[in-house]
Amino acid sequence: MEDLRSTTVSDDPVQRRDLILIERARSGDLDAFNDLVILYQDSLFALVVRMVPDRDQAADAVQEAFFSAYRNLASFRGGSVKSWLNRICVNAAMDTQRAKKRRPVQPYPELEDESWQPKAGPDVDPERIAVHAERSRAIAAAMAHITDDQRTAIVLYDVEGYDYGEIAEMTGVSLGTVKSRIHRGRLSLRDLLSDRMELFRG
Amino acid sequence: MGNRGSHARHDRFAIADAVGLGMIPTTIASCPSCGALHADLLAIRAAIRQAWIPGRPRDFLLSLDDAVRLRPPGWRRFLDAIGTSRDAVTRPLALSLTGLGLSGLLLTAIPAGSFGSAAGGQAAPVTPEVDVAGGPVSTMAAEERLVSPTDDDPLAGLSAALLAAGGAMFLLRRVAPRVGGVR
Repeated sequence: MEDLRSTTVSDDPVQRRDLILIERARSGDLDAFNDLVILYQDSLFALVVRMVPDRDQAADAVQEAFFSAYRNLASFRGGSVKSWLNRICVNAAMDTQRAKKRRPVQPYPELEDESWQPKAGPDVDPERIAVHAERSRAIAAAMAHITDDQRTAIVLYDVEGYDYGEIAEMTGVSLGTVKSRIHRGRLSLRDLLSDRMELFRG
Repeated sequence: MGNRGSHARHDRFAIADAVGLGMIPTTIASCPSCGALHADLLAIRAAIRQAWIPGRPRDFLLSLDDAVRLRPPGWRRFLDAIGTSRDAVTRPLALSLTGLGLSGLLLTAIPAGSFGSAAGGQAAPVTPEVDVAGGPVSTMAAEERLVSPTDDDPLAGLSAALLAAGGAMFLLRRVAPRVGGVR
């Protein structure tokens, strides 16, 4: 078996830890793989649920991505484990988008329940929390109404911080198409939110 | 200074492109509508980043059953791969083996002299042979020996083996998906 630590020199302790876990998983240690699942399941779900505006479908996509990662452990060629998992998740999310063409009438119907997680922080002012909740609700509704391709490009660029070239490679389209999707998506969001822009200007 | 009339001609894409980048189109500074659009796009981008998302509904840990299903033991993995889109080996291999086997059998079935007669028009004379006892062997028997491959012809044996291997490979491709179980 290829020793990933010997082929990939990394000073980053997080990356080194991930590589050790991957190497153990490749040699059949399921617990090591599940340690990776525990480490990354929140961030990967956050990525996918922004791309797939349905909580259950997003969860299924993430589960499928972890299955795929485990099945293809041998194809990992070093580098960042997080980036590798991100790419697998983006592919799984796009597969889900293709499979479920129907768009939910109301995205995230559980918006009002406790499954929504406000980010932890010092912001405990009820009024600010209410505004933040209202913004989140408006954004989620608008994001669900732009196209899957536009939403994917916007999430990868504006939230995940990938550049145009990386998104083009991940989504299998040209650089120009990525730019066009981002720009059209942004303008569509602004049109969809035009009546509620005061909510975001404060 | 821009006005509502000229704003219609301004490039909205360029403004959308400028969001988050250092370069800012001049229209953003000169046209109030373009400036407002730019500010709105920046606000929306910030809101997307900060928006709450639904919580993860469950853990995605793999069970032992999942692990066995996804990474089966060696022979099962081999069997599972045969006949799928991942399998780029068995079909060309089966075709090659079958092709080689058939060609070999064809070659052994053609009399050695027939190549010469076709090419030069001079057929190799089939002369009656003399057996160990000294008696003449009939011409027909000699011809028969040339036409049908004998058991000790190594090329014929090899060709038959290749043909059988190719056939077995095709059969395996048919059977493996049913035996392999979950893909």
